[in-house]
Amino acid sequence: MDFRTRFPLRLWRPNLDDEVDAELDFHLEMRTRELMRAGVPEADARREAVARFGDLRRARRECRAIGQQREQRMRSAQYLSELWQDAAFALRQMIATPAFTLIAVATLALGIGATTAIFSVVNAVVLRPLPVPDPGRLVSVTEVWRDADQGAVSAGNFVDMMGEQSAFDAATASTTVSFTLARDEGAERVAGVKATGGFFKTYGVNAAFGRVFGPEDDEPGQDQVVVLSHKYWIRQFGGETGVLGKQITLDARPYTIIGVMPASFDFTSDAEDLWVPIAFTRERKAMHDEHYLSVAARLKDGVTIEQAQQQLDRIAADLRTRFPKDDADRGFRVSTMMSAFIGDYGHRLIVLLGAVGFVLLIACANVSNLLLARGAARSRELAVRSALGAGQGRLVRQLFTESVVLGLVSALAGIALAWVCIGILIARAPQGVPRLDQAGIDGTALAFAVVLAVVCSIVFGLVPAWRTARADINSTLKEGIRGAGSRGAKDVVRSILIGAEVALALVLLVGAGLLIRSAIATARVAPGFDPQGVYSARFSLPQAKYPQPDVLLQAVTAIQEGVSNVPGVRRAAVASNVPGAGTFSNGLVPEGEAPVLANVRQSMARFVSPGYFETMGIPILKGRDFTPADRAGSQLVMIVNQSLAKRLWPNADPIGRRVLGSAPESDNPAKTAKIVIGIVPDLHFAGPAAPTDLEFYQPLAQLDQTGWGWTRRTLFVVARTTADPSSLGPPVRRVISDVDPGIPLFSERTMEQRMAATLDTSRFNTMLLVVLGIIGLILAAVGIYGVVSYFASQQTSEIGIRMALGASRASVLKLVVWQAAVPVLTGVLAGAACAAFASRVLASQLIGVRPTDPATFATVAAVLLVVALCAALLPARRAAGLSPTIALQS
Amino acid sequence: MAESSRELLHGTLEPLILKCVAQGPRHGYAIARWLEDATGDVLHIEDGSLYPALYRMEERGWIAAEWGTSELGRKAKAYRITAAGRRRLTAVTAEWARFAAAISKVLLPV
Repeated sequence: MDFRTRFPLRLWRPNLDDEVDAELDFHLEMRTRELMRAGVPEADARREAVARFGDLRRARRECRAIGQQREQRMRSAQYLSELWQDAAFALRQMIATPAFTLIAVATLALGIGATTAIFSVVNAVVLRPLPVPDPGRLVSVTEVWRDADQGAVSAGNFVDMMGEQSAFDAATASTTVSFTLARDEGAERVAGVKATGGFFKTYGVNAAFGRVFGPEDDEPGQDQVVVLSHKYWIRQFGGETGVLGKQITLDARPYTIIGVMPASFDFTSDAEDLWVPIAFTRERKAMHDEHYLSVAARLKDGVTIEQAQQQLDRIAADLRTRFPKDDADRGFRVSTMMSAFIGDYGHRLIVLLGAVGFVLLIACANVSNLLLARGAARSRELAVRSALGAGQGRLVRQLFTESVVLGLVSALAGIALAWVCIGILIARAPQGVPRLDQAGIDGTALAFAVVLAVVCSIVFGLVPAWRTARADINSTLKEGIRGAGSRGAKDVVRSILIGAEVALALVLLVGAGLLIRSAIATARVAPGFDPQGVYSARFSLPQAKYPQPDVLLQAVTAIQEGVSNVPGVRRAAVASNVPGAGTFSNGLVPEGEAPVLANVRQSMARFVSPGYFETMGIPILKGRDFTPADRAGSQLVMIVNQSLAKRLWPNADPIGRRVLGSAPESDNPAKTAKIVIGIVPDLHFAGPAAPTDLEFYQPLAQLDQTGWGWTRRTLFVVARTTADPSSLGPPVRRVISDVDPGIPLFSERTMEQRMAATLDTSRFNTMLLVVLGIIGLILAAVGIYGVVSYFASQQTSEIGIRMALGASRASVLKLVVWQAAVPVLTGVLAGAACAAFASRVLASQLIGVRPTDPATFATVAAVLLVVALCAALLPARRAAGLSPTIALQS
Repeated sequence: MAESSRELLHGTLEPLILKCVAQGPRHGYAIARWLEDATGDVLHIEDGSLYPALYRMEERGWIAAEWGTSELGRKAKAYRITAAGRRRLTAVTAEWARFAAAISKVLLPV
C-alpha cells in the first residue's frame, strides 16, 4: 500500500499540544489530498475530510488529556529513577571514601543521637499530654499568700470555693498519705492519696473494673472504701480479679476494695498505689488555716483559665472578708495541670535541648566544611558531568541527594547512639523526674531523628552544593583540580563556618562554666550542721493506735531510748523534720505586739526531742537545749534560729522573752505563749543551694493534738554514730519492731545522702552541660584544624616561594595561623555576646554567681582560644616544616 | 450503518489497530485507511475516535510513537507495536476466536 512508509528515527518531539495539532492536521491533509487525487475539487475535498473526521475538538481534547497523564507519569518515573541513581551513586561514593564517610557520619550521628536522646526525654516528660480525656482542660488550683505561691489549699477554702464557683465541671482536693498497711509479714508503707469525691470525675477516668468512689462515699462513716492502682494491684495481688470486696487494713482501719484503675492512670512509675475518700468532718470543712491539700479541677467547656482565675479572684476576695484572720493576704492561682505536674523540670530540659541543638549545629558546620573540601576535590567529576549535558539543577539535585543519604545513614547511627544515651540518662538522672522512665526510641523519636537528619542535610549540604554546581566548567576542566572554584569566596564561607562553630561552642562552655562555678559555690556553703556520721529514717504512728499526745510521746521516747542503746550510737533523737526532707510553717508574733497579720513572722516549725541538736551537730549558740523536764504541763519553751531571733527582737537578747503563735492558739495567748530558751544557727534546710529560713524548734513533749496533726504522726529518728551510719538500719529496725511491730520504718538514708540528694538535679544538669560543652569544643577544634589544613594545602606553593626567598619558619607559622585567627576571634566575640544573652535562661539554677560572671566568660574565652590555637598550629607546623623544593614542586 | 456494528466497534478497534501496526510502523492516516480497506469499511470508524484510541494504547504501552518524516516530506507521527502490544494482540485474537466460535455455534446456520 502506498501509505506504508518507513519513518527514520528522530529525537525531535514537539510539546504535547503542538503534537496533537500536528498529528490531526496531518491526517486531514492526507485525506484531502487523497480525495483530490480522486478528482474532488480542493474546497469540497477539505470539507469532506473534516466531515469524515467527526468531532475534531473532542478528539483533540481527549488526546491532550491522555497525553498529559502519560507525560506526568513519565516525569515522576524519571525523577524516581534519577533519585535512585543518585542515591545509589551516593552510597557507592560513601563506600569508596571510607575515611570521609566515617568522620562525617560519626560527627553527624553524635549530633543527631544526642539531640534525639534529649528530645525523647523532653517528649516523655514535658510534651506528652497527661493520659486522661481532654487533658488541656485539667487545671491545678493553688493558694497564694502575699503573691507567693504556697501550693497547698486549706479544706475550708476548698469547700467554700467549690460552693461558689461555676467555672469547673468538677474539682477535687487531695493529699498524699503514707499509709501503714497491716500485713501478716509485718507493717508496710504504701503511698496513697486521700481525695474528695470528685477526684475521678475531675480526671475523667473510670475504673478498669469495679467502681471508683464518688461524693456518696466521701462522707465520714461511708469512707472505708479503697480504689487500687493498676501497678499496686499487679504487685500486691498478682492481677487477680477476685480482689473486689476484699478488705485491707490501712492505718489500723479496714477498707473494702471497690475498684482497680487502668494502667494508663499510673502517670508515673512512682505514683500513688491507692486512693481512699478523704471524708472531711464538719469541723474540718470549717478550717481555713491548715493548708495541706492539692486541688485539681476540670474547666467547663468554653471557660478559659483566665476566666476561671477571675472568678476565683472574686471568691478569694469574699473569703478574705469572711475569714480575716485565716485568709488575709490569701488568694487562688489557676494554672495548667501540666505545668504543675512537670514543675521546673520543663525549663531545665528545654535548656538542655537548646544546648544539644548547639552541638548539632556545630556538627553540621563541620560536615559542611568536609563537604566543601570534598566538593573542591570532586569539581572535575562534576565538570565532566556538566559537559556531558547534566544541567545545573540536575547537579545540585545530585549533590543534595548525596547530603540526604549521608544524613539518613547518620540518622541510623544516631538513633542507635540515642538509644544508648537514653539508657544512661534514665539510669543516671536524679530521682523524681516525672515520666522520665517513659522516654525511649518510639515512633515520635524516630520521626524526629529522620526529620532532623533531612533538615541537617539541607543545612550542611546547601552551601557546598551551590558552590560546587556554580563552579565554572571551562576553567575547572582546563586548570584541573588546583584551580578549582573561586578560592576567595570559598574561604569566606569556611571562615564564617568556623567563626560560627567557635561562637556556638563558647555559648555552651559559658553555660557549663556558670553551672560549675555555681556548684563550687554550693559546695562551699556550710549547711549549719554536721551531716557526717548521722543515720536517719522515718516512721509513722498509726492514729488508730496512737490517738493522744501522751501515748505518742511514750512510743517516741521508747524509740529514742532504744536507738540510743544501739552499740556505736553516740546520741539519738526524734524530730518532725530533718534537713533535706519536708517542712511546715507557722506564724509567730513576739509578746507585746498585736497579733495582727502585719506583725506575723512566718517561720518554719520543727518539733524535736531532747538531744536533737547534739545528734545533728548543731551548736547551741546561746541558752540551753530542751531537757526531759520540758514536758506537757510545764512552761512552754522554744529555741529559735539566729535569723528569727533578729526578726523578732532586732535589738534585744531573745533569751527569756515570750512568743505567741498565730492561730489557732492565739485565742488564748497567755496560755500558749512560749519562752525562748536558746538560739541555734540558721540551717540550709532544703539543701546547700536553698536559702535559709526563719526557724523555730519546740519539744515534741509539749505538742498538743493540733501540733501532732501537723506532723501527720510521721517522724524521723536520727542517730550519730562512730561507725558507718548506713550500717544502723538493721539494729534500728529491731528497736522499732520491739516497741511495736505495727510501726513501719522507711526512707532510711544517711544525712549526707539526704543533703546530696537535694543537689542531684543540679549536679546532673551540670554534668550534662559540661559533657555537651566538651563535645562542642572538640568538634569546633576539629573544624578549625580541618579548615587551617585546607588553607595551608592551598598555599603550599606560596609558602614554598616565601621560604625560598628566606622567610623564617616562624613567619610561615604566623602566616598560616593568622588566617584562622580572624574568624576565631570574631566567633569568640559573637559567642560572648550571645552567651551574655542566653545565660539568662540559667539564672534560676545559679547559686552565688551571676549569669554574666566576667571570670567565667574570660576563662571560657581563654580556653577556647588556646584550643583553637593548638588546632591551627598542628597543620601550620606541618606547612612550615616542608622543604621549599617539595613545596614548590607540588 | 447498522447499530450492531457500532456496538461491535468498541471492543474491536484496539485489536484491529494492533493488527495493523504489527505489520510495521504506520502513521494515523495510514491506520485509518487500512481499517477502511481491510474491513471493507463495515465498521465505518470515524477518524475522530481513532486518535484517542491510539493515545490510550500508547499510554498502556501496547504501541510506541515516534516522529519522523512522511513520504510527503512532512513531519508525521508513526506508531509501532511494542512487545507488550504483540502479547496483547495474540491474547485478544485467541479470545475473539473462542468468542466467535461459541456464538457461531449458537447462531449458525440461520
